[in-house]
Amino acid sequence: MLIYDLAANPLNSNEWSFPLTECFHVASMVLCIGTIAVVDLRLLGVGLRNQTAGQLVRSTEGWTIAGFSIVITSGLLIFSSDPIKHLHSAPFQLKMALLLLGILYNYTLHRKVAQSNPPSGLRFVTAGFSLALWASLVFSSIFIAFW
Amino acid sequence: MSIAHIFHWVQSTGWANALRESDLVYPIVLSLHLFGIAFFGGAILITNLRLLGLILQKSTVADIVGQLRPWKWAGFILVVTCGVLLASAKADAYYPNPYFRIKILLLACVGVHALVFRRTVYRVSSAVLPRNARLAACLSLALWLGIVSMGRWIAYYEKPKKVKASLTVYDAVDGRHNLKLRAAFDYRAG
Repeated sequence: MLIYDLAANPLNSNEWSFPLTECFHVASMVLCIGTIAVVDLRLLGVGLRNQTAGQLVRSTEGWTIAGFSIVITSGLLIFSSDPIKHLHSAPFQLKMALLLLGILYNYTLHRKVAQSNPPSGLRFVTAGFSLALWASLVFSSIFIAFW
Repeated sequence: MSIAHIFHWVQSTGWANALRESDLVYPIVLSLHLFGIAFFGGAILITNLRLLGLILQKSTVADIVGQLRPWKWAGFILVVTCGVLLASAKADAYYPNPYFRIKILLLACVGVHALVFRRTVYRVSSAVLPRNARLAACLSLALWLGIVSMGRWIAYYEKPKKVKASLTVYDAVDGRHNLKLRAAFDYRAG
C-alpha cells in the first residue's frame, strides 16, 4: 500500500513555498508560451516581420525549452501538494491532455511549418491552432481552482 | 473621502458585485489576465533579451523593439483592463493587502523606468547597443518578475483577525490570565 502524507510535503507545511512555486510556474509559462506566441504572430504576418519565422524559432527555441523545463518541474511540485484533488479535477485532466498535445504539436507540425516557407493559408491555420491551444491551456489552469 | 472609501465604493458598484458573484465571468476575466501575461509577456521578454544581447543578435535593437512595441501595448492594455476588473470585484479586500500595494508600487516603478529609459534606450535607432541598455533590461525584467510574483501572492494574504487585537489588551492587564484566554480564543478561531 502506498502511503503519502500530504502534511509532510513542504508545500503544505509552510506559508511561502506554495506561492513561491506558483511564481516560478507563472514566470516560466511566460518564457515558453510567450516565445511560441512570437513565432505564431510572425506566422500570422505580424510582429517581428523583418525576421523569418525560421529565424525566430532558432533564436527562441532554447528559451522555450528552458521555460518548459521550469514550468513542468514547478507544475509537478504543485501537483504533489494534492495529487488526488488534481487527478479528479476535470480542468486538470483537460490541461494535461492539452499540454501533451501542445508539446507534440510544437515540436512537429508547428516547427516544420515555421521552418519552411508554406502558403499563407497553412501558416495562418498553424499559428491559429497553436494560439488557441495554448490559450485553452491557460483557461483550463485557472478553472482548476474554480471547478 | 479616503482611498479606502473609494475602494469600498468601487466594490459596491453593480458590475463589481456582478463580477464577484459570477461563477463563470470571474474565472474567465482571470484567465484573460493570465492569457495576456503569457502571450504579451513574450514581447517584453524578447525586447529585454535583445537589449541584453542574448537573442536575435543579427537584428538591431531598434528593429526588434520597434516591431514589438504595438504588441507590448496591446498586451499591457488587455492585462491592465482585466486586472482593474479583478481588483474592483474585491476592492475592500485588496486595499489593505500588502502584496497588492507592493504590486501597484512596482507598476509605478515601471512607469518611471519607461520615462527614464525610453529616449536613451528603447527608442534609439542606431545599430550600436545603447548605453545603459543592459541596466534597463535587467531592471525591466526584475520589475515584471516582481509584479507577477506579487500578483500571485495577493491570494495568500490573510487579514489579521480582530480577536488578536483584544488579546493584546489582556496581555497588558494580566499575563498569566491571558494564557488561558489565548487557549480559549485559539480553540474558537479553529
